[in-house]
Amino acid sequence: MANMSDTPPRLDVLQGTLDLLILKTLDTLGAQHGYGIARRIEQVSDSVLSLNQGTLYPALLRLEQQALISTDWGVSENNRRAKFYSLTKRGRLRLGEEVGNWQRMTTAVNAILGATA
Amino acid sequence: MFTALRRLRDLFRREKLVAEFTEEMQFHLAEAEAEYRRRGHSPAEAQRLAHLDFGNATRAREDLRERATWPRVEEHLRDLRFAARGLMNRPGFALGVILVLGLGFGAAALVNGLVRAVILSPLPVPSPEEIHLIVESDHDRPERLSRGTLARLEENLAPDQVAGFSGLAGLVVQVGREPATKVTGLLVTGNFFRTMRVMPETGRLLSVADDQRGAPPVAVVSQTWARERFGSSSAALGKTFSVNRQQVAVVGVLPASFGSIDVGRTVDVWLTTAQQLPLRINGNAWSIGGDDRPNDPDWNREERIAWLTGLLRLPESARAVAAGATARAFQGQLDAAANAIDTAADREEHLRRKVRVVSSPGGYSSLREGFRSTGALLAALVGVILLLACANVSGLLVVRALARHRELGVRLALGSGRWRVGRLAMAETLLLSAVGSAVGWLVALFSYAAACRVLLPGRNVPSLMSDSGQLLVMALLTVLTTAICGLGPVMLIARMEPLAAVAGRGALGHAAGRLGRWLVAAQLGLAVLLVAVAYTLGLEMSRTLNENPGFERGQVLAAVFDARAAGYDQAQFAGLFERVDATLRAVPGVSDVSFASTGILSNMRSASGIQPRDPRAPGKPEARQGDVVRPGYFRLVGMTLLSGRDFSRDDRPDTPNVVVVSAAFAREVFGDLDPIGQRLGFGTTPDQDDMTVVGVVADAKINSLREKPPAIFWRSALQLPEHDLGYLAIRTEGSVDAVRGAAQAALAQAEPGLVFSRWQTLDERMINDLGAERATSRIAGLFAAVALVLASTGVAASFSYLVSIQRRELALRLALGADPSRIRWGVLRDAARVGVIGGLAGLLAAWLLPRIPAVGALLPEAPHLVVCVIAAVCGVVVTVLSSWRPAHVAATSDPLLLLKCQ
Repeated sequence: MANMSDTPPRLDVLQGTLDLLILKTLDTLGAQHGYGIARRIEQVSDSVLSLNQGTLYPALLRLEQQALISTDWGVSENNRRAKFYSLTKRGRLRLGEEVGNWQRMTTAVNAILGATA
Repeated sequence: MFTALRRLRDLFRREKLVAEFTEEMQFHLAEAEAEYRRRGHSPAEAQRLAHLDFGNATRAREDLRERATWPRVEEHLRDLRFAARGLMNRPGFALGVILVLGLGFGAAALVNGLVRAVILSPLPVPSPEEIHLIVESDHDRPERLSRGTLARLEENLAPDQVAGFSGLAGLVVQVGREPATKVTGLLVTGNFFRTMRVMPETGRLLSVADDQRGAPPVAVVSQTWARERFGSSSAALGKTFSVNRQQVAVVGVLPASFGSIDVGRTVDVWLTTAQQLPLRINGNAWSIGGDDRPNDPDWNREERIAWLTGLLRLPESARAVAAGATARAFQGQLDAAANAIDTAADREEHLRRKVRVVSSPGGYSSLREGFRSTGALLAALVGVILLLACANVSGLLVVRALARHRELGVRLALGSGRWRVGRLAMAETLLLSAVGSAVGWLVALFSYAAACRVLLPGRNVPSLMSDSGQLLVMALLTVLTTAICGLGPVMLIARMEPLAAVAGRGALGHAAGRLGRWLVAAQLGLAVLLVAVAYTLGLEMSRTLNENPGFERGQVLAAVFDARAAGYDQAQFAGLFERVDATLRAVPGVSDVSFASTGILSNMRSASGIQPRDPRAPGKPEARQGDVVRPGYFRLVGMTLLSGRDFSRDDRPDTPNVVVVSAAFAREVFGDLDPIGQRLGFGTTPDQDDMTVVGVVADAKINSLREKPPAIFWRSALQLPEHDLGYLAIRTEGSVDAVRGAAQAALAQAEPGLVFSRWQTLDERMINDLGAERATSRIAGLFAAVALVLASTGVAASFSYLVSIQRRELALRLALGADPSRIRWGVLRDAARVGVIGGLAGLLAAWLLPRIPAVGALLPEAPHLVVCVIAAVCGVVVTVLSSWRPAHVAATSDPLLLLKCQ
């Protein structure tokens, strides 16, 4: 995996969390193309999260099939034709649920890790 | 659900998705490369790093492709494609099955569409589920309410939750100098349209301000009427026209989608209830009162006249409150009217009446009550036709499975599972059912209007043929039919012995032959049942039409009119009738003219509380049907005077009141007493208005041919000169049609403001009276003919194949010198045996089914044994005739050729 800058060792995206990251990115940025989503995830995680960018596209199709995101062809900043993804109302609701679940999960894991004998 | 549907969608655009992914990937790599170049990497290095970041593109593409697949669905689609190819190789077979199923599906779709449209179609208003009606406690008929009851309800509910409307009124309208015509009108409360939430097409709708006493008379008209009379909706706005001789202005036009609250009926002119008195509308009401207790002619101010139907728009939260408020408001109406009731017993009974608030998203329609039994009978007939089609198709599919025994045997022998082979047969059946269903639906769609004209004449019933409910029913029927039709072939495949099938030896044992014969017998049984039912319906119809109704039918012409609505007042009535009488007598071909108030088969009737004065008479005081007629009426319409005398011109207002009664009336009221000379009165105590019975007339089916002759009394119109007569009867000589035209022309000239409508002979009125039953009988006859055709094709196809699978045996017998005629007779005997089994099954079903109460209620009478036997014999004859050709083929085939083929 290539590093774009000299940073600490990178972590793979946990299985099952890619959907959450995509939904959150679209919620923050609005409509965005696949490359933009991948870049945003890496930038916001300060390049800690290593994303195999090709896996993004099957995940996007899965979210679209679940009606959580919608797609539209448009023109990128560089004037190239690109497919833009945006969050649907259903997707926004799901994001809320997933964020809640994630926070409960991390709290529970932190509690276990922080527990002393 | 979303995911499943979208995956299914993506299944069909997989290649497009992959192409899009490729484009996206190229974009992605180009953007990444550009980014790396901006950071100072060489182009080659930038390209390498971009590809490295992207990862394995082939894997990503395969992952994406997998998201756009659905292995099971694809497998089924493959089965369907294979089945379609197989069927295209046998177009004759496929077409035959599709036609048979299309016939069954078409009949089912049509009847389902009709029944749903009449019984289930909601009103074309927003949130129709909120619409409620106030009905009688023991029926779903609307209770008639006084205006006061509605006012009390309005005090307790929100303003747009309560509305009322009158019964349909025949209005005489005149636009400019055009001839006066009769239209259908309805009086509604000012908030009716707001409660219904109907929007006008043009102008405005009626308002509470229009429904005030003394408010300028305004009307809202239907779009159809506006276009007919004024050219367009916008042209109608602001125009005035005469309604019952009163000038009324058009303030708005309703959209075409809203005809009325009665399914299939369009109200032409809508007016406010405040116009009841100015327009002299005085029908469709319950009133309690008498000469000594006169009611206010303005029904809006009279608590003892109930003439409105209460309509409520109730959201869920308001329903409990509305039920209580309605009961209290109605109690006020009962209390007010109770004071005018003479006897304590009647008063008590009156006060026991209750009302209910019922959900009525489809409004109210008298049509529904009448159509319920017709619809149920048609649905039952369609069910039989569909079953018959299933049996037929099942037989054909079994034959097809038998014909393919070698191919199926090879598949099984090569290791293909029975489930897999059976699934292929099911896929073929599903495909045939789906196409048959689509064909049937299209046929029903295009024949819907014609079916409505035959079954529901005069009604503009909305079409629900393309809505989701109809499509769901068709889908369910398709699945059901697939399951029924596919069962036979699948059972055969399940029992198939692969090696024997490949060798062509008794691959299916005797099961196939037995199954084929049972299916043929079942088809015949169903066909016999339908023939027996149709024959019985036709027979009963013909008997009803031919029996003596108690009046003469051929030469008596009748018409209805409304002198009050045309602007004549009571003092003018006697003179008007004399003028009409004289005008008509001058028309060639008219030999006699008379009038009645409600007449014969006019759909009008009136009743008054009447009681005998003789304490020995068994008849209790109760409301009995009455009519008012001119002297000579009974002779003119051919009603027989059994005893006493007819009314005469000597019966005048200043002579003692006389009355003529029907034989049924005499029996019910006077028992064994001699009715002539008996006294009858309207009040509890004898007074000067009491009447003496002077004649008894033979019973006649005055109201309907389906009802028994009513107990009715007639009063003389000459003793009631101010009574409104609305039924004209003319006795004709020679051609009735010629007299009809001449009489209409003469009256149009003599009385241009008076509209005479429904010109029909009593014979035509009888046929009209039985309209729905006649249509049902015709359709049943058509279904029976279809059933026989289906059964005969089923017999022919099945025996052809039964003969063909016995070819080896037949060839051997012929080669060994068997007489061909014996072979022929053998096949025919076999067919006759199956025919007799089918005939007996049908006979038993035709005899037994109508004796089950739920089924018997659908038929006017159970089929007679003779009818059942005739139908069964018909079935046997059809079987033998249909098997003639297969028998002939079996007897005349070349044995050597047959053996070679084997």
